[in-house]
Amino acid sequence: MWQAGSKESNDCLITLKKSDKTKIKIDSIVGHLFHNQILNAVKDTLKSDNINNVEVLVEDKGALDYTIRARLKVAIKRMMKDV
Amino acid sequence: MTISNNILEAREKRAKLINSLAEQNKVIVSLKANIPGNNKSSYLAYLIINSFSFNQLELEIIKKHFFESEDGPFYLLEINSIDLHEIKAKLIAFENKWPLGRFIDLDLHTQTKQISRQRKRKCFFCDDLAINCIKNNKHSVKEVFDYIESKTLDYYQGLLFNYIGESISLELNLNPKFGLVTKYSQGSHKDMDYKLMIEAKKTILPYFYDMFLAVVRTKKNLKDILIIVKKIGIEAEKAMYKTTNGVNAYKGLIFHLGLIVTAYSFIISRNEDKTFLEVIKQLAKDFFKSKADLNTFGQYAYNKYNISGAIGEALEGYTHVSKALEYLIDFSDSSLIQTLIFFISEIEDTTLLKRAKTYDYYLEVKNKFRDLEINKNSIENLTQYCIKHNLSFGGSADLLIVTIFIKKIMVICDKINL
Repeated sequence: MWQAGSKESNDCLITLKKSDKTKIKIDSIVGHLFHNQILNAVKDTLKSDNINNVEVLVEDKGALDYTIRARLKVAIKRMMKDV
Repeated sequence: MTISNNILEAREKRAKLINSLAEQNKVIVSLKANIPGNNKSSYLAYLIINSFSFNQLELEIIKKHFFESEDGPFYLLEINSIDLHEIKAKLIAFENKWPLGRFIDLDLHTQTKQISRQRKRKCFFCDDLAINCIKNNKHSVKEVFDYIESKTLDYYQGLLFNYIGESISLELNLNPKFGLVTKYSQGSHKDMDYKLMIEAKKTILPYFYDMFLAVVRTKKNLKDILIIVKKIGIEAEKAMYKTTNGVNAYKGLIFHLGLIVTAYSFIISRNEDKTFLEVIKQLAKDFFKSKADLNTFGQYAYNKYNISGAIGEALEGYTHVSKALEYLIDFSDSSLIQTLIFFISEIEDTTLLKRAKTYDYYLEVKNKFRDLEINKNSIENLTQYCIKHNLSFGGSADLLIVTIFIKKIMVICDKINL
């Protein structure tokens, strides 16, 4: 399991786990408004980093798009270091 | 738009720090300023987190920690509490009622979770939820920053204007008052009256905000800051003399409040190791050095009797004001008069020396105040005596105003200590 971020307001905590296929779970305080936007940010980032077969959990406290992307990139980096 | 990795790392670090405290079963309140953009440690962040005293949160604070980070300055407060919802309610209530509360993040953290607000904040500019505007990039970083800046500066402008104005008025409206100008009497001052004092007050008030502005936005050291604020002080003096046709109504006060406002502005706008008192002393020392060759009565008194008057009080770090706070329990007439009597008895008042003519008589007058049994009659009689002998106590009146101002500002600032 690899993590990046925090659960402070305007931030998010990303948790990555190995998986047999890509799964994305979003738990956001603004999920009712921005679920798809967050989902797209995650999908985009995974694609650009060429990552498959991970389980992504986004615990979002109202982070901006670029924060979510940056947090996910760091989590991926931490994962790659170990693999 | 991107966010600096340093800011993200700093947030992760803070979260870990909070977790490690929360794991020890501690209840933590974090406080930081909510400033957009990549510079989180601007003077604004400090002005916002230092705009109130922790006492105003009405929490039982066991310990407070201060940190500087790439995500800006922040405090972590360890709280003694059982009812977490009550604390959260208090934090939200404070954010809602405090003029700069909208720019403050007060968050509650415990071992199990961070407790979030149920209702989301609204945007400054439109009626939408703030999160909508932020997510959709509706307003630029500059637009939001400028808004926060103007609101914060407005707040401090109002604060200085009101607190100093009220402090001067409380002294001026006190009556009777031993030869000093009151609403009903010119006292021992043939060239001054109530109206003139009010006009002088109105004239000098805006200059203290000018000093504040000059201090909070500069990265200069105290020596250079003194040069700037001294210029503003001299402008204030000139404007006062113009208003009063050359009568010295508040020159000493401009000096005292100039130093105090400068020191206050300095310590609340940056991460500063020096205390308020240390800054005051340093400023006074540099001021004294630069003033040593001036031909004033204060200089004469210093050379002849080693009486250093207003500058002496500042050099000592206002020890008499510190003591006077014990007399100034509230702003009632009886507290005010007791505080004034304390100053007249204890300080070296060059106004009195000038009017008493001889040093022996100067001491005699001070003793009259020291031995005074305070009641309505004795105050009235001594006032008559002072007017008859043309005595007055401008230096003491100035320090009374200073004490009132300090007492007011202590309520909203934990960094003010004498």
